[in-house]
Amino acid sequence: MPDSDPIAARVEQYIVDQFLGGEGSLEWDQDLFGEGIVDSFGFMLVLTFLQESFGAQVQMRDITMDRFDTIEKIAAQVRVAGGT
Amino acid sequence: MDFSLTTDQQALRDRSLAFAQSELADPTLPDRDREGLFSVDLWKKAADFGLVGAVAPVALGGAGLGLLDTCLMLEGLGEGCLDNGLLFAASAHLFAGLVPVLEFGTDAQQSRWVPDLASGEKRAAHGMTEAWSGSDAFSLRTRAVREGDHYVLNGTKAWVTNGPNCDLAIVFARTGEGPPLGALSCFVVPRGTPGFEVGPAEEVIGLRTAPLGELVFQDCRVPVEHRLGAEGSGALVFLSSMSWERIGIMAASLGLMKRVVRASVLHGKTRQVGGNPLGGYQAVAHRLVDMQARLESSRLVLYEAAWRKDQNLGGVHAERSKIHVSDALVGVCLDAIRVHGALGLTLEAGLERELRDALMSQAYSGTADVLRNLVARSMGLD
Repeated sequence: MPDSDPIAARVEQYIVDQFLGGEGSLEWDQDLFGEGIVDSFGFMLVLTFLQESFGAQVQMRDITMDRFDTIEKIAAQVRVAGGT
Repeated sequence: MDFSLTTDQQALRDRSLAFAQSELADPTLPDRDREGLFSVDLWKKAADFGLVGAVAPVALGGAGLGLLDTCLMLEGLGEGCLDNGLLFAASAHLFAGLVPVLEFGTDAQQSRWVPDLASGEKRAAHGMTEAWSGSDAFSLRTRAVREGDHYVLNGTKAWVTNGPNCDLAIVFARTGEGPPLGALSCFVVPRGTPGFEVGPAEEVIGLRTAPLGELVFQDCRVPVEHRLGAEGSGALVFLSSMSWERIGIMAASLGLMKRVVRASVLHGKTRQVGGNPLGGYQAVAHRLVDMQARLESSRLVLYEAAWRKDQNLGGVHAERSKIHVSDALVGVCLDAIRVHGALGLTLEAGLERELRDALMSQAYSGTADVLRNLVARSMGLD
């Protein structure tokens, strides 16, 4: 996935703004859950962001944590879910 | 921006009110409230009306309504039905029992469980809270250990609505270590499964006609195919069901507030004090205005949250709605008692029961303080 991926960039910006007080940056392969950056309630907010920003309709029953634990995986799931 | 309801929506609310007034009236309610008795008869009537399966697809025996329309139904029922516990039990069943199966169940799981839940033939309980993990729900201790094609559950759930008379429980248990995301899983456990027992109804101050109690699991073997969602997705199942429940479970309260405000305004108009109507005194009139404002603002915030849910828009609107409506509900009931004076304190007036029922809203589906924490976090305040 190229560094210029616009979906990943917007996801990173959202997570930095929402969970890191707008300060700093994240690696796109950084473990969001394991490092405590995004918790369970935060993940629900992320899913909402994906729906509202990219039109990605993620089916709840298809969600597994290991497909959403990094920014690059989230961006991939947005594409799978039809987001643009 | 259009705040008007469609003709069909108005008809649904009106039909629900008329049904509740004619079919859910129960002269034994004060006795059942005192004794803590659930009415199976009223449950069946509410189920036949379509309440307990409102959001389930028609193909699975539900009414196929969205959340907004379901809330309109509940508002009408809440206005006409004095048994707040009945509507609370039905709402908990619907939003925290049936919805998780709809959202996370496979086609086979939905076919197996949804029709009976939607018809009200079976009642669901939602087993998340434990005695040591109320507001800190994810610190639960109930464990599910995989053994071949089964999980073995051990633990005790507390203060579970519909617990004592459930037919099926949605149960959350720890299947791994570490943070809740990935460590919790959710299971459907039918009543009668060996190792699953329910406790007696707890004595609580309000919503006494909706029994709540313990679910006890002792070496309870649950087939793998009873797991909802992937292993480790239990936190998502819980939070997703709460995003429905925190909106829907307060919808009947709109109707409750409406009838309490109406009764208080009527009292203000008819009660004479010093030769004048009570409501002619500014102190009382302003209180009645505040009650009306709480009702109308609650309706707006709740219906916007329900509409957003129907549009797959999320955020923390469910939490904000729950905070606002539950606080408004308590405020309206307290003010109703103040407006009625000594009469408001009598059992005969029924306002004390409304207040006791209202107070329960400060705890269920997340306390107001915990929900404020969640909203604060969405504002970057942690």
